Amino acid sequence: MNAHDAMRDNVAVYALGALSADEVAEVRAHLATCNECATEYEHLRRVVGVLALAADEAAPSPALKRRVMDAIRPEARPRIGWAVYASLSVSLAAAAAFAGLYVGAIDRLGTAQSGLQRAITAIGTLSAPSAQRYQVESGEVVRRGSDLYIVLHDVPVTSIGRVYQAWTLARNSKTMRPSVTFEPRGGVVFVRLPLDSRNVVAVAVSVEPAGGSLQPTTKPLFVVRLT
Amino acid sequence: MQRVRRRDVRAFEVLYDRHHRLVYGLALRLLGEIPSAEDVTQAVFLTLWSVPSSFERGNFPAWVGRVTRNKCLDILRRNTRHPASELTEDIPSSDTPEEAAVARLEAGAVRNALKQIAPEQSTLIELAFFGGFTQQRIAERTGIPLGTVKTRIRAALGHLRRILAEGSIT
Repeated sequence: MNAHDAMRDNVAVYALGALSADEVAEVRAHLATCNECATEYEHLRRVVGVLALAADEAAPSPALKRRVMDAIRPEARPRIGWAVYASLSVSLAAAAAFAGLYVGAIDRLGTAQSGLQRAITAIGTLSAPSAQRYQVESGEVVRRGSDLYIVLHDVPVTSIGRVYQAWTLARNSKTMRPSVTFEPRGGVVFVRLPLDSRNVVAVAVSVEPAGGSLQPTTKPLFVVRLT
Repeated sequence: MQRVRRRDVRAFEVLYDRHHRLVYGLALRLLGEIPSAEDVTQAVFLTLWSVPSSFERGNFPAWVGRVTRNKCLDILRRNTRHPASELTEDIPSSDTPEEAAVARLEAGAVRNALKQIAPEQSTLIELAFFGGFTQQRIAERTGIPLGTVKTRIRAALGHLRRILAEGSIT
């Protein structure tokens, strides 16, 4: 077996999601340069994409449905602020999994809120019918009251030493201000911007050096005006 | 899903009723315990409600299965038990006959396809996809050399692709 045959095996294992994280970078680098492997990868990815259908179905308790439906029905929520979402029995695991681990990780307000509390707050904002949604490349920006979130799905993992950075434009301002940085690992990422959104008229995201930049150094993934 | 995007609660409830057993079953198989499986199921459907734009088109049950698996891997990774890599949830759509066939695939066709490949191959697919194990952990658990694990996985996926493509024509 030559080196390329070995790489083709790795591509298949990568498509199945069974490569260790430290092996992924090498395969991705190869896929970027080898059309043959890139094509095979796309074919195999589609096969893997339907494997979940073969899972044995199982029925959870009826109480789970009640929790899910209560979480999305605003009229079902008591009116006592964020703490009431605890009544939805959202566990730490569910909240962290739902929030893609970024609600807590990038909250620079330094509030005393726990990761669970931040995730619960995010759920309330993102699912509220009154939330304003602005479609962007690979996701949306969601504003409700003073809260502002960027929600992205399936954005590419940044290369080593690079991060995504959010930018905001304040009313009556002419320059974008730097905001938080984040490094998604794939899937859905929720980024809460640590500012009062009511003064924000535009949001952007770009790829920047690790640690962030004072001004954008690359073409933004998107720039969206908030009406 | 269009109605879910318009915040139609009844439409969301229908989606839940249709697909929660698949989501919960997959999560239970990966995580092995009811509370975590229920948490992931809840998280998957709340994500669907909060970000309906994350699903654009294609095979919806397969997509929600990928979302479920990735959330399970997040939990497993946090426990540092199974550091497998996630699957991308969005698979670019093309208007090829193969893509159209994939969009129509149902659970029975995929299960039958898995039964048609050699057991030494399907076992590895099961360990990787439904067990969340990396190739290294699979080799350790089975005693199969790592190189053989890789080659069999590639062969298995290739066979599955052919079987599923042929099945979609009949």
